[in-house]
Amino acid sequence: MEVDKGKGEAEETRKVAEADRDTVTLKSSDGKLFEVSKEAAARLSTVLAGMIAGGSIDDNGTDLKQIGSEALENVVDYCNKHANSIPSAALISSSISFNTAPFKEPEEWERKFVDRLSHDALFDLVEAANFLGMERLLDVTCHKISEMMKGKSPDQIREVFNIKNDYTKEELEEIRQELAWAFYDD
Amino acid sequence: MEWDSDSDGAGEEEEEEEDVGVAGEACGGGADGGVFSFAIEGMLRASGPCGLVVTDALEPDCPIIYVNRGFEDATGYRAEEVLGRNWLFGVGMVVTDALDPDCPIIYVNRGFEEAVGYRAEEVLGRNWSPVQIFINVFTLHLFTCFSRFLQCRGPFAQRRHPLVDAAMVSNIRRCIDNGTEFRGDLLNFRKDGSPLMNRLHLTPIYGDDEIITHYMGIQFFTDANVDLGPLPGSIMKEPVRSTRFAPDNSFRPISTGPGESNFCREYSSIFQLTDEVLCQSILSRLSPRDIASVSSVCWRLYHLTRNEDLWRMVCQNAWGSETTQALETVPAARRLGWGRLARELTTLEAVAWRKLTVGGAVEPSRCNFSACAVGNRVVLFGGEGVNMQPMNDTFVLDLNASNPEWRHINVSAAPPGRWGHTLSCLNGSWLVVFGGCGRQGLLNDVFMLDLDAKQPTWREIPGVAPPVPRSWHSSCTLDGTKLVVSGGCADSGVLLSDTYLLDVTMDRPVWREVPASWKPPSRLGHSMSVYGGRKILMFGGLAKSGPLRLRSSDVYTMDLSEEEPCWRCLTGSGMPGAGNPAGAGPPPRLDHVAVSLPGGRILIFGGSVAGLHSASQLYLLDPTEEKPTWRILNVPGRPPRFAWGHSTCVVGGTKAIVLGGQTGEEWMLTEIHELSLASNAV
Repeated sequence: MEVDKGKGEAEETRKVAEADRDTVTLKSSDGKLFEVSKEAAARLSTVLAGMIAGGSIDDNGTDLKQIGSEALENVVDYCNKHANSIPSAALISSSISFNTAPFKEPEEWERKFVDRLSHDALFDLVEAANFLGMERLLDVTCHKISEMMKGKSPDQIREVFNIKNDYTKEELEEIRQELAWAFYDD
Repeated sequence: MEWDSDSDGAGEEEEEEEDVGVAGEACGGGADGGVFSFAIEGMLRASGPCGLVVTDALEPDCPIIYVNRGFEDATGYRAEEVLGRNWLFGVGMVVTDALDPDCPIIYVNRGFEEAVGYRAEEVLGRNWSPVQIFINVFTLHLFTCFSRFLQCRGPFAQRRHPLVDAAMVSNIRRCIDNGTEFRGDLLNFRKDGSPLMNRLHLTPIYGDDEIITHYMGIQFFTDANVDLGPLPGSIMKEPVRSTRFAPDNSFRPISTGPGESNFCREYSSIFQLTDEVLCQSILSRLSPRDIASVSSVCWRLYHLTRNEDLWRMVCQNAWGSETTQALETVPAARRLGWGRLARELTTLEAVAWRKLTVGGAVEPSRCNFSACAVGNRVVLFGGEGVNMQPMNDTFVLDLNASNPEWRHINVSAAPPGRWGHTLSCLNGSWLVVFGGCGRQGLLNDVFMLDLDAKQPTWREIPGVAPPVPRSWHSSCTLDGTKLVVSGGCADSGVLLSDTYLLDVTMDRPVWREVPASWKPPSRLGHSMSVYGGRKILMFGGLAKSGPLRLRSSDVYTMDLSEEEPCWRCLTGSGMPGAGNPAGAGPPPRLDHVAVSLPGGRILIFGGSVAGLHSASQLYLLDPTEEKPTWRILNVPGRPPRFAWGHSTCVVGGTKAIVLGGQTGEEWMLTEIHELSLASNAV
C-alpha cells in the first residue's frame, strides 16, 4: 500500500517534471540523443514549435529520421549559441537604421559558426534547417553558400563545389556566347 | 481512349535510342502537342513496355484502380502493391467543407503541401470549386505516387532525386490545374533505384456534368541510363548509356565519342539540396552576373537558372523591391521577362532615345513645376505661371493609355501654390511635395497625396522641427517611408548644406537632421539619388566655392544605414585628394537629370552646363566600384536639346521621361523625349 502510494506520487512528480522540463530531447537518424532548450527550439524552428505545442515531443527522444547526428549536433549547437547571444548593437539600434533588406546579414558569431563547417556538413545543415523550418539558420547557411559563389568564374565555382563540367566544347562555346553579356572581359 | 487496348503488352523489341531521341525533340517543356502525338503513335506500334494507370478521381484519396502489366514490368512494383495501397505513397490529406456550397478547403496536411507545391496558406479558405478540389486531390495523389516512389530513388528515399526535372514536375502541376492533358518525359526510378525514363501522358476524363471524374495516365518506359552514383545499401546495375539535362528541359542521350565522356558522373554534394532551396535560398542572393556565371558551370545549374521566378528574386535582391515593383507596373517589363531585363539593365545594350507626342494640355502654361512618376504615370504639380504666379494644380499623364494625354486632376485641399519645390513618390502611389517658393515667400511645409485613393486629397504632414524654408533644394525617398531633403536656397539667397529626413508614415513625424561632422559645400540645383538600399549620392548643382558660386561636378555619397553616417567625396575637382578620373566626367552643371539604375549605377545628363558642352551627353557612374569611374554612354536616337531635373522623371525604372520642347519662355509639355533603358519598352 505504502509502496503503491509512493509509486503513484513518484509518477505524478515525474509527469509534472516532464511538463515543466525546459529542454527537449531530439534523436538523430542514427539514434543519437541531443538536448536543446525548449524555448530556443520553439523560437527558432517552426516545426519543433509545432511539435511542442502539439504535444508530440517524445521525452525519450523525438525521432528526426531525416537528420544525421552531425547535422543535428550543429542544429542544437546553433540553438544554444543563439539562446546565449546578445543581439548586436546594429540590430537593436533604431537611430538612423533602415535595415529592411530581404535577407538579413548574419551576425559575427553566426558567420564563425558556419565558417568552421565542411562543405558536406554545411549542406547537411541546410537540409536540416529546411526540414525543421529554421528560417534564420537556413538564411545563415545559405548566405554562406552564396558567398562562396559570389564574383566567381564558372571554373572557380566548379572547383569550390567540386562540380564536373558536363558541357561539350561546342556547348560551352554556345553558352559563353549566350551569357557573354555578363562577363566584363571575355 | 483508343490507346487502351493497344497499350497493353506492346512490343519490346525496338531500339531504345530512337525512343529517347524522339522524346528529346517532342517534349520541349511538355507542351509540344503535335510532335508528341506523332511520338505516341510511334510508340504504340512497337516500343518498350507501356504502362497504364487509371485512378478514380471521385474518391477522396483518388486511389489507383488499375495498372497493367507494362507498368508492373517497367517499375518492378506489382499491381497488388499499388492498387488501393495508400501506405506506399504517404498520401496527404485535404479536408473540405462540403456543407458550404463553395466547398472551401479547411485543412491540408504537410503531405499535401509537399506533393502539390501549394502551401497551406495558399489554399486554406479558398473557395475552390469541387472540380479544382478533385484536380488537386488528384495532383496530390499523382505526386505522392510519382514523387514518393517513382521520383525518389528507392522505396525509402525521402525526397525527389535531384535529377528529376523540376520544371517538368511543375508542368504536370500546371496541366492538372488547367484540366488539360500533360505530355512529357520524367525521370523515374524503379523500386531497385535504377533510373527509368517515363514518357507520361495524362488525360483528364470528364463526367456527364463537366466534372473531371478520372485521370488516366499512360506511361512509356525506357531505360534512362543516367549515372547516379552508388545507391546507398544496394548494388546498382552498370549504366549503359548516359543522359543528361538538355536546355529544352528534356533528357537526351549523348552520342559520346570515346574521348568525350565529360558528363556529370559524380555529383557535387551541393546537389543534395532541393531545387527549391538552391533557387530560393541560395541563387536568389546572387547578382545577375553571378547567376550567368553559375549557369555556365554545368547543365544542371544552367537548367536551374532558366527560371523566371529565380530571375525575379535576383532582380529584387540586386535592385531592391521598390525597383522591381516599379518595373512591374510597366507592361513592357513583364513582357520582356526578368532574365532579359536583368541583362539589358546590366549591359545597357538597348538604351535608346525616342520622341513622342501626347495629347491634352497643361494650362495655364508654366515653368519651374515639378514632375514625378507614379507607376507608369507622370504627375506634374504646381509651377510658376504667368506673372510669377505660384500654381497649385495637379496634372496626370497616363503612359499606359493607348493615346496618352495630360489631364487635370481634381484634388481637394490643394497645398498653397509654389514653384522651385520638389515632388517625390513614395510607396507606390503617394506623392510628397516639399518647400518651394510660394506667394508669401519660401516654404518648408509637406503635403502628401495618394493618387490611387478613391477621392485623392492633399493632406498636410505636420512635421515637428522642420528645416528652414527653401527652394531649388533636392529630394529623394528612402524605404518607401522617408523623405530626404538636401540643400537649396534659403531667404535672401543663402545656399544651404544640410540634409534632413522625415518619416511621413509616423503618427507624429519629426524632422531629423543627418548629423555629419563634415558637409559638402552648400548648393542648389544638385541631384540626390538613392543606391544600394540606404546610400545616397549627391551630384553637381550650383555650389558655394569661397566667395563664388560655381557649377559643380562633384560626387558625394553617404551611407545612411551606418551608425554615424558621414559624407564621402567620390570624385570631383573640389576636394583635396579627390581625382577626376581621366577627365571623362560630366562637365559641371545644375538642374540636371540623375537616373538611378538598378544595381546602383547613376546616369547623369542634361541641366545647365557652361560653355560649349552638350548637355545631352550621357554619363554613367557606378559608385559601388572600388574606384568609381565615369563612363560615357553612347545612345542611338535623337536626344532632347534640353533636359532639366525638375521636368524629368523615371517611369517604371526603365524610362526617363523628359518633358518639354522649350521654345523661349514657353514649355511644350505635349512633346516628350523618352530615354528607354530596356528594349520593347513602349
